[in-house]
Amino acid sequence: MSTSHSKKAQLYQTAPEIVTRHDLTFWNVRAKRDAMAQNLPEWEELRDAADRIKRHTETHLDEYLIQFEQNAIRNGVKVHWAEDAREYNQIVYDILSSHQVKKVVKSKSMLTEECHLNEHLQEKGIEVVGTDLGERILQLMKMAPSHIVMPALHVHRESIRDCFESTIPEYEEFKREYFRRNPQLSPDSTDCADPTMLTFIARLHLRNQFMTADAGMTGANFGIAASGDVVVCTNEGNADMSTAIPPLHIVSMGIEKLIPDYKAMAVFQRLLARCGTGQPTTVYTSHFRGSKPGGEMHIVLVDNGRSSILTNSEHWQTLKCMRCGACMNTCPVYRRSAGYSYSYFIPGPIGINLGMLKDPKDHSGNVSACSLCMSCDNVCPVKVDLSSQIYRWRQQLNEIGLANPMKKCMSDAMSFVFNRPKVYTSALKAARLVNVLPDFMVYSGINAWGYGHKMMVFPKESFHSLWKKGIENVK
Amino acid sequence: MRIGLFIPCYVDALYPKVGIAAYKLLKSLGLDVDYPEKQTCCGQPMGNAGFQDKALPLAVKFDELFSGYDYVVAPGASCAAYVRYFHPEIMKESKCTAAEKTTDIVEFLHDILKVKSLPAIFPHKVSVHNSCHGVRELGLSSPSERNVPQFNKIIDLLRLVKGIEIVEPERKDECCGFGGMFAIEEPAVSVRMGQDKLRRHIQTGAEYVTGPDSSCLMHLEGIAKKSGEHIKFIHVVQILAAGL
Amino acid sequence: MSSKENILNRIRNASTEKFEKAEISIDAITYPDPVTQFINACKTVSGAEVSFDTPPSDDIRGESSTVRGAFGVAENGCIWIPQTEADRSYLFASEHLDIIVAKTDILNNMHEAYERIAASEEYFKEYKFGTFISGPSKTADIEGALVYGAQAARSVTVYLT
Repeated sequence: MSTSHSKKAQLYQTAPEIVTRHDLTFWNVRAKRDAMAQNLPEWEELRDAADRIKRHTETHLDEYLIQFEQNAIRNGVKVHWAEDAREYNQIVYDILSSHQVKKVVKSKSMLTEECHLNEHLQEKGIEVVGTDLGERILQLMKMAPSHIVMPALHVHRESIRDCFESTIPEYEEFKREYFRRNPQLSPDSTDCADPTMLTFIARLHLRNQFMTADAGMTGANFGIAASGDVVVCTNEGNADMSTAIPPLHIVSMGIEKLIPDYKAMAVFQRLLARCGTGQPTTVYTSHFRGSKPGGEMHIVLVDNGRSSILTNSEHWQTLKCMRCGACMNTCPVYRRSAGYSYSYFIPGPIGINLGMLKDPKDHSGNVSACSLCMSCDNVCPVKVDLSSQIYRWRQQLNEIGLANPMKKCMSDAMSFVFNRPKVYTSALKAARLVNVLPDFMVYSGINAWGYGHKMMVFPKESFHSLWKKGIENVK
Repeated sequence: MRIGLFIPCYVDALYPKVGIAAYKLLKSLGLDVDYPEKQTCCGQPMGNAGFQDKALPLAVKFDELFSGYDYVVAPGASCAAYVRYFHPEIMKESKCTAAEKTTDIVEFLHDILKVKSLPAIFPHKVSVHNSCHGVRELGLSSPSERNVPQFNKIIDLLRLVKGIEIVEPERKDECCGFGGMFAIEEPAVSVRMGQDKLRRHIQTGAEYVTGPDSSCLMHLEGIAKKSGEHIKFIHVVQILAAGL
Repeated sequence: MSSKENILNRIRNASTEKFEKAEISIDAITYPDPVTQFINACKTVSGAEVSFDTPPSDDIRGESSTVRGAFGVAENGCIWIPQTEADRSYLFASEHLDIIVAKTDILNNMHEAYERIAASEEYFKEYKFGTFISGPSKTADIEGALVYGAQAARSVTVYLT
């Protein structure tokens, strides 16, 4: 009865205190989001507007892409188009190698994860440094992201300290600098896993990277068709550090990231941080409209399956997603199973859907990771019908031969019984047998219900049979 | 007003008392209540598992049995929601008339009958279980994710009961992890969700957990019994019908 | 055919229902006193200091730098800073940033802010970059603990004039 997600999630449960910590960490983000939503009178109006803007833009994407490209070119930006990950990686490599780039600093971009750009460039001898703190931690630990907005939130501070100690050569020097600047702290009594100290060490470490990089790369939260702006939102300022210092800036942008104009931008700027991290704004909302004096700016527009999603009448609305991560934070299954239980690099409700759109054979094992509680539908700022889409994928698994045979068998049996009222009535009587089975048989593992439940006690008579006998007399 | 009583299959088999309470409560309010005997299941277990096609004959049968009533009333929010919102889609080839008249008993009492008083007495502290489909499909209460005026129809009705003390757990509408086939396919996460939910109900100090869905209560009760917890479970209709 | 044409053709051939452009008019929050709200947002949301003293000259560059903002936004403490000189790195690389903004340039919300930007091509004319800054750089990437001073400025003082 096990899917790939359920197996990994079950393993994750073997350390219940880690599950508790993970659940609470992300619940807190959701609670902050709720406070934002509930304190802004026009909240539902904003979601409604964002939904309508995206419905329109995604279904007129050809027009907006052309407009965006024209404006970007007019601003002096070089625009490239990539049909898939291979072409994208090649384009980026060609730009970098034509500038003799040895080291790239980059801010977080899920698109580069999707296309495995880092690995590609590193194989070709270009050093890639992730500059978002969470991303850098994972890079140094050689781990994959577990969340799209807070990728390393599942890593504990002690592991980060150990990692920094062993991978940052100047660790001891940076630590001394920290105590020099904070003379009130005693090196003997300070916990070296303190987030403030670890962040300071990472700051000094990354400063060296920014200063010595030949190029900066960013993703794009939004592309504004009417002006050609690329908008990048961060709290750390790492996208700005990555692009303010090196002369070359390459933007990687999925084609679905477009919005029409500044009027639309206001709606999305107000929603993104409130939904994603529960802040009224990110610290930096940066508009890149062209290169620095003497520098170059390139935008690579990447399809990699997106235009095909547009042709899928049941699932095209996933293109509206702006990757805020709110659906993960609210998902009770994500919070208790964490990112690595999912086979796709984007976990949670949106990841279940995007994984199926990428390749159903590889990612059908995530479709079980949903209790259909519909909380995700209610937090999504652009109203993607996430849970309905998961329900629809379940209907399609059978057609594409990926349905769980055991589950199919159970559904067949239910269908047989429920379609025959007489059989149903006698089955009701048979069900009482369960009451007298010894517990060890029920809990032996054959029965998934017995995993965490004591078997229910069936009453002597069903409602059906009581009705037949005369319900008025029942006490 | 002629009412077709829809008793979901697991209520029929496991919780006949919930069905009896629903029947008696509706009768006490002066309604003409009938129970079509050939009913079985609304088809949700198969639909949620990914076999919606198998729910089609059940939806057709349901419509045939229930289309003649003024309202179809069920003590089961999730099943009522499945009938109302999924049957029309499942039966798109044929006319579906019962779905729009199908209600959960809480919304029926609250919105249709607009019940303002009940004779029930229940001198106990109860923790309200706001089940997902009740909240997010039927709108029995305002979802905690949304910026909408706060309301809770379950609590409104329970307030009519004398002697009762009503509380809600922390994270008042987080999923308990039942989800039908979800509990079978993802037992580890399902049980963990249930344990967390149960703990929050227990932390309120309530004697009973009550809600509009026996399925969630069954899940929580199974976990409670396995871990030796003594909190009790009761469907909201049993409280509203107390003493009848 | 080029990749561009292939992508555009696939989009054009998609038979998905087309949705018309919707008029967006949000009944957005406004404040009886936007300046007071802005000060609150700077202190509580952004984590910036607010000062009413005479601001330092706006051409200081170094460990501590100073910049003039075009306008501030009351709802979230953002200040719009269009780039006005060739090198913008001081905005982010300085340890401390002083931002000067006039009390008469405080708008209610981001809708008003983007209206103002859309109306002024001047902001982008020469340097093609502008940013909203709301307080010092921060992160919560380690176990969700809020820490000021991630990669960019560790502290910000907003001078209201």
